[in-house]
Amino acid sequence: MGNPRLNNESRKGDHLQPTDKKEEIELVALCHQGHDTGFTALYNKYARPVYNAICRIISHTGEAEDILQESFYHAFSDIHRLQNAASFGSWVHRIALNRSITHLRKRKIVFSDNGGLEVADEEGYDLEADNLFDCRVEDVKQAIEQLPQGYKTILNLYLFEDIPQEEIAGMLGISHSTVRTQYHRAKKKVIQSLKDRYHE
Amino acid sequence: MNDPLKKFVKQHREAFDQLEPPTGVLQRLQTQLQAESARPEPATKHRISWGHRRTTWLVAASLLIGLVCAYLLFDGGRIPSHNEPQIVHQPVERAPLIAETPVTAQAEIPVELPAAEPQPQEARHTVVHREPAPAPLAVRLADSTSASTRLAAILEIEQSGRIDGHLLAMLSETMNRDGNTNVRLAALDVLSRHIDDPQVADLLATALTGQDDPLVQLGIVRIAAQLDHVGIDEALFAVARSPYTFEAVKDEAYAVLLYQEKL
Repeated sequence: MGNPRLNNESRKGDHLQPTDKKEEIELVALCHQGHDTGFTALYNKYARPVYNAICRIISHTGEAEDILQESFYHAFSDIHRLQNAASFGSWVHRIALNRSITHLRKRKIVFSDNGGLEVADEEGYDLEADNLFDCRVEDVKQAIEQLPQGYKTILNLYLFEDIPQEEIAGMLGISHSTVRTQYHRAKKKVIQSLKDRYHE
Repeated sequence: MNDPLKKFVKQHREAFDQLEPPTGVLQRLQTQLQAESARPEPATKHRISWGHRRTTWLVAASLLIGLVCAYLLFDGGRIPSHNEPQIVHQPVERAPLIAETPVTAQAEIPVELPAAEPQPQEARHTVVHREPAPAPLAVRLADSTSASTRLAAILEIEQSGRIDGHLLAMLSETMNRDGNTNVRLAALDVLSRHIDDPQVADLLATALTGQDDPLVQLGIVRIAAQLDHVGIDEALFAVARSPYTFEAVKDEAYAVLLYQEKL
């Protein structure tokens, strides 16, 4: 479940402008009072990024829709647990991510742990790789989508949600070295996929 | 940071969030939240006011505890009255009655003895006044239906502070024959308070060998340690040597004899 005190909470909260923070605090206060406007405004504000985050992990849109609803429902139900009212967005985001990971586990998707035996495939990208990223967002999206589920989850959490690798390891119940190795492999695969696409 | 992929994602972050959330979700969410708040204890408010709820529970719990304490304090006298306190009260009122008519009480009540004619009236009388004035001691001591009644009778004897041959005989009978060990021990206790009475020593000496309850027998042996009576010594030897004596009783008897340097 989402923890109101998130490590990256303050980081994300810092991105908010003071007026946004004030507005968010007011909206959360409205939710505390049970006002519908508070719920609706917060949903409208965060539904899209949360939905996209879920869809990046759960490809199935029908299931993503359910997780979106559940995440907001639990966020609103447990809003009294939110200690920093200005970080509602981060909170609901984390709830959604945790629920998505739980959903993957239910689908028997295992995040395998290398047990630190494998050495991380460090760096070593060819210079050509930099040029590849002149490509379109859609191509990158597709390349990521083609990754195996484990790689895709780690890559998405690290790249899009900005979660540190140590924290990803904790969320998935695997070691930090495994996360690092799998991330580099995922990245290699994406680059390779983009290369293939452009060399066709 | 040599991570072109991360760089690319950062540069085009917004472009990656192109999917629009399904339109029906907000409506369903609102319905769900409304349904929740329509419940007697809405989840949101319910959880928000958890502190208040806990306080309410604490108040309720303390009220309950208070009620129980009040009940025990004010009504407590009645609860044990079924057992012991009533026993304590009764003897004070009825002791004189017994003392005034000890002979009639002895003659009329016991089942073993032929009932004397004039006393049935008294017996009926006691039946009529059963609630205010309980049955005579002998009747109560012979009441096989209630150990507490017998205990009450023994306590009454003890509190009256008077003892005579008949009461001693009744107590001895109770000590040797009663079906309840506690009643037997109570009778022994009363007898032990009149240890200076030679009749009591005789009764104890007789009871020592005839006693079939090891607990009571042990009690008698311990009391016998304070007595200097020939009959007691013989009884102690008999108990100590009897193969049927309970081991603990035997040990105690030996200990008493050893202590008195009679071995």
